[in-house]
Amino acid sequence: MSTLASLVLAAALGQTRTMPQITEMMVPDSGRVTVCVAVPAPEDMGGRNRTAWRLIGETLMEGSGAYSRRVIFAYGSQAGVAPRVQVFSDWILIQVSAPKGGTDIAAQIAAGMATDARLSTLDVEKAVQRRKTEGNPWVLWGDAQEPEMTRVDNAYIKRVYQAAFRVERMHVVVMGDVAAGEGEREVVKYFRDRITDPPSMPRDVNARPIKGVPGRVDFWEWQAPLLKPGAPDFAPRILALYALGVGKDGAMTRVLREKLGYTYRQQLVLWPQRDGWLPRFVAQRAGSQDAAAELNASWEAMRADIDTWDKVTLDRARMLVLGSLDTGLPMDPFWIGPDWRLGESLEDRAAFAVHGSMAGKVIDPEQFASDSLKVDLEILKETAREIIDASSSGVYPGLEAKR
Amino acid sequence: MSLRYTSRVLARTLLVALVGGCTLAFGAPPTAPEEMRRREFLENGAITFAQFDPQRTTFSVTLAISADNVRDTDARHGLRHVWEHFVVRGDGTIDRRLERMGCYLTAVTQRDVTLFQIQGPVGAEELALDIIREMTAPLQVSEEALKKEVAIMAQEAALRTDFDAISDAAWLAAFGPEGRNPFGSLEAMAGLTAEDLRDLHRRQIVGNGMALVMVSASDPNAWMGPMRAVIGDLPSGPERFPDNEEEPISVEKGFTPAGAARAAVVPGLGDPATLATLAAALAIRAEFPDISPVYTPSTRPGLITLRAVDSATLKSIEMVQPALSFPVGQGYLLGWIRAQRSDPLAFGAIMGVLLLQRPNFTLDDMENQAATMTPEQFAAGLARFRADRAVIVEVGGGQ
Repeated sequence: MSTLASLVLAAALGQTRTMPQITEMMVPDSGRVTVCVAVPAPEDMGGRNRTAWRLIGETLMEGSGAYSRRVIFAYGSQAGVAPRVQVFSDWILIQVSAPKGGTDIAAQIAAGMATDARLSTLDVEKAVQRRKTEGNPWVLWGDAQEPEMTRVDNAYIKRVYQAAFRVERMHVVVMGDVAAGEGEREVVKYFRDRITDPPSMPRDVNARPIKGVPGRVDFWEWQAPLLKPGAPDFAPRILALYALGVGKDGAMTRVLREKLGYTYRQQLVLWPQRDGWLPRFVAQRAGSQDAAAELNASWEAMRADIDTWDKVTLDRARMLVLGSLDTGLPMDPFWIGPDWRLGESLEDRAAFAVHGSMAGKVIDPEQFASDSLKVDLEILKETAREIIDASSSGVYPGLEAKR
Repeated sequence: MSLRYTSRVLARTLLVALVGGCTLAFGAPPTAPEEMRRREFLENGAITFAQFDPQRTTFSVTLAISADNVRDTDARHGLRHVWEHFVVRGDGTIDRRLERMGCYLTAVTQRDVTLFQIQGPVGAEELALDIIREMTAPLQVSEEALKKEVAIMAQEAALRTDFDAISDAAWLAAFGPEGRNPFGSLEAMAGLTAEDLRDLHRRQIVGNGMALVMVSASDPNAWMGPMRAVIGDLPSGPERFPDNEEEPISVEKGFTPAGAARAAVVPGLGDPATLATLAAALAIRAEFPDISPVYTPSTRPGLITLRAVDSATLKSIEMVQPALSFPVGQGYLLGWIRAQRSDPLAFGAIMGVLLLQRPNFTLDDMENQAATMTPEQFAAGLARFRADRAVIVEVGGGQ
C-alpha cells in the first residue's frame, strides 16, 4: 500500500489508560470517512463466553442507547456504505462510514455500538435463531465452535459485554477525507466506558468443536503456525505460503485440482486473529470415500511438489505478495470475514490497518520488498517444507452429505 | 476500418483525437472527463472501450462475450460453462505467465454473457492483451481433458447451495426454459464432446457480440490500437439478436426447494424501474438483516431476488414504509454504483455487459437515474416485491 502511504499522514495518537489506541489516516479526495474499531476478546475464552461473544457481535448493529438499527443504516446510506460488524473468535471489528464531514456522527455511532450496545432480549433471541439456521458453511468454518447456550441468557451476555468491551482495550482507525486531528478529537469525545467498575468474565466451560458444516461438501483444512507481521522470518514465510496456496499456479490448485482431481475450490486463507494472520489451507471436497486417506495423500503430494519449484515459483510468489500489499490488488488471501477477502475500498484498507494496530504491527510492503530479495529458491523451498510439516489437519464434514 | 461513434461525448472524443491524436497518445495525459475514455465500434461488429484513471495502480482487461443465439438447450445445458473452463485453460501456461507478473485471471458464465477478466499491476497490460488474444485462438480440447474437467465440475456443482436452488426455481418460474441457470446440468455435460466445445468456440469468438474493455492508468488512446489488434481481425459472425428481451407475461408461483425467496421481475438496466427495485431491495436489506438481495446486472429482463431462510421472514417486506426507506435505498444504490466505478474488475464487468446489450447506456446514465429517482418510482419498485406481484419461492413440500 505504498500509494496509500504516500497519500496519508498516519500517526499513532494518544495512548492513555482510558482511551483506545487511535490511528488517523488521511486519504484526501476520498469523499468519505470511515471509523473502524477492533475489540480484542479477553484471553482464554471457553465455550459459553465465546458463544456470548458471537451473539454480542451479531447483535451490535441492532442499535445502541442513542441509535436504532434504522437510524444507523440511514446514516450509512448517506455514504452509500452499510455499517458492518465482523465477529471472530478472538476479536470483533466494528465499522461505520459517513460522507466527508461526518466524522462526528460516524464516531458517535461506532462508539455507541462499542460501548453502549442495546443487546435487547429480542435481538439476542434473533441472533440465536440465526446461528441455529446458519446455512453458510464459511460462517461456521470461520469460528468452528459448537454454541454453548446453557445459562447464556441476556444477563450473561450483558455481563460479557461489560467485562470485555472496555475502551482501553480497543483500537480505532479513522481513515478518509479528514483534517489532521479531526479523527482523534471525535474518538476522544465519544469513546468512554459507561460503567467504572466492570464485572469479571463469567466462569466458563470448555469449547467444543463443530461436528461439521452445512451443505454437501466436506471442508478439509491444514492450519500452519501464525504469521506475525514484523517477525524475522516474515518474508520467507509469506512467500512460501503464497507459493503453496495462492493462485491457480499455486501448488494447492495444481496438486489437489489438476493432479489429483479431488476439488474445484482450494486456497490459502490468511485468517485475521488478534495477534496476526492464521494460515488456513482449505479445500472443499464432495463425495470422498476415505477423507483421511485423501487428506494425507494431498499433503504428501504437496510436499513432493516443492521439489519441482523453480525460479519462476519464487518470482511469482514475490509478485503476488507485492500485488496484495503494494499495488492494491484484491488482497487474496487476506480475509476479513467468512468468504470475504480484503479489497481496495477505503473500508477494507481501514480494516487492514486496525487489525495491524491490534496485532502490534501493520505489514510494511517496503520492508517486505527489501527482505524478499534475500530469499532465494532454496530458502523458499525449505520454508515451505517447514510449513507443511508444522501444519495440523482436520476435516469438517458436510452435514447434509452425511444424512 | 470504419469507426462509428454514437454518443455525443464520444463524438467529441473522436474530434479531439483527430485534431490532436499524437498529443493525446504521446503527450500529457488527458484530464477532461470526455478524454478519459474512448470507445470504438470495429468493422467486424466488436466494440472496444478504454477508461483512463490516473489514480489507479492496477488495471483490468475484460473480454465480454454475449450469449445471444448460443444459449444452452436442455440437451446441452452447461455447454457454455464448460467452454468457459477450457478457454481460460488455454495451453496450460496462462496462469503461470500471468501470476508471475502479479496478475490474476477470472472467468464467469452468466445467463446473458461470459466474462473473462485479467487484473494486475499497471504495466502488465500488454501481457494481459496477449493472453486475451490467445484465448481467441482455436480451442485446444481433447475428449480425455473434457471428461476430467466435467468430473471437477461435479465438485463445483456440489458447492451450490439451497439458495442457488431457490434462485434457479424463481428464474424458471418467471422465464420458463429461457431462465435455466448458467451453471448447467452435470448429466448434460457428461454427454458433451470436444467437437461441441470447438463448435461453440467458433460461434462465440466472432466480432458480433464481443466487447473488450480496458481500465487503466494509461492514456486510453494508447490502448485503442492494441485492443483493436486483439479482436479486430476476428470474423464478424452472424448478427446476434437478443432472445430474451421481453418481460414475462405471466408468473407462476409456489416452487418448493429449501429456503424462501421473493423475486421481482425487472426490465433490465436502462429502465428506471430496475434501479428503483434495486434501491428497494437494498433498503429492505438495511432494515432486515436476515434478508439478502441478489442481482446480476444486465440490461435484459431479469430478477432481483430477496432470499431468507423461510417465508415468514420475507413477510417483513410488507412492513417497509416507502417514505422512510426511500432515502436509505437510494443512498445505498448510489454507493453500489460508485463501488462499481472504483473497482476495476466490477467496472470492466458492468461496462462489458452494457456495451454488448445497450451501448448508449453508461454508468453516468445509471448514476443520473439513481440520483433523480422519485419516491413514487421507489414505491413502485418496492411494490414489485409484494406477495401479489413477486415470484414466490417457499419452503414446503419439496423437502
